Amino acid sequence: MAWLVSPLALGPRRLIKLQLERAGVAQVPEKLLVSSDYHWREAGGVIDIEPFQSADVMDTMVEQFHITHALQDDALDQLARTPEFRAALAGAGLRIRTIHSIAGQMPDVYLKRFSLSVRHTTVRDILNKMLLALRGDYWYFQRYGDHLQYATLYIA
Amino acid sequence: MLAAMALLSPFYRSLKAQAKLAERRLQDVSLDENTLESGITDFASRYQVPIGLVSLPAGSRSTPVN
Repeated sequence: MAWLVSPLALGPRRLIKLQLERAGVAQVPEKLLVSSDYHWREAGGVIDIEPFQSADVMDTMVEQFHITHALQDDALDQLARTPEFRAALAGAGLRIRTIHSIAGQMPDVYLKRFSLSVRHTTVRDILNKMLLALRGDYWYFQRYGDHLQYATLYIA
Repeated sequence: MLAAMALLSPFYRSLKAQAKLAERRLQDVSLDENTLESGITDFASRYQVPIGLVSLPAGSRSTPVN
C-alpha cells in the first residue's frame, strides 16, 4: 500500500529491473547505477546515492544540531531552520515543501521519537544519523516545481 | 555491564552499523520493473539497507540499466 507519493512519479522515467544471486550489498548500487546519472558511496553505515551534478545543499556544514525526543517532521523542520542549511537553501532558491500522502497505517518511522546532537557535520551526514536513529529504510530528497523551487525531504 | 554499555553507546551502534553494512551478504536480490529511483527505495525497504537518496529533479530522465 502506497503511503508516500513521490513527485518523480509525475515525470517520464525509464524502467529498471534487477536480479542477483548471493550478492554483496555493494553490488546492488553498482549494478543499478551503472551508466546512470548517479554515483554512490558508503558513509557511516548508509549508502548515499546522488546525481553526478548533485544538490550542493547536502554538503552544507552545520556547526551545531541538537534535538531531543523529536519526531522526524520536527527534526527535519529544525534542520531546515539551522542558519547554515537555511542559507544554503535560500542560495539555491529552494524551499522545503515535503509531499505526504498517507493512504494506510502511519509507518512507525513517523511516530518514533529520537535524540541527536552533532557538531560540525554535513546535512547529508545528519540525515544519515537520523535515518539510523529512526531505524528507517531511506531518506529522500528531491527538487520539484515549475522552477525546481521546492524540495521534498523525508525519512521512510 | 560493559556489554550493556556498549550496546547503549551511539558510537558503538554507529560502528556496528558500518561494519554490518560493509560485510553484509544478500542471498538473492530481485527488484521488479520500476523506475531507477523507486527501485533504489524498494531495495532499501525490502532488504533493509539504509540509503540516502538525492533524486534527480522531477521530470528528469534517468538511464535504464540492464
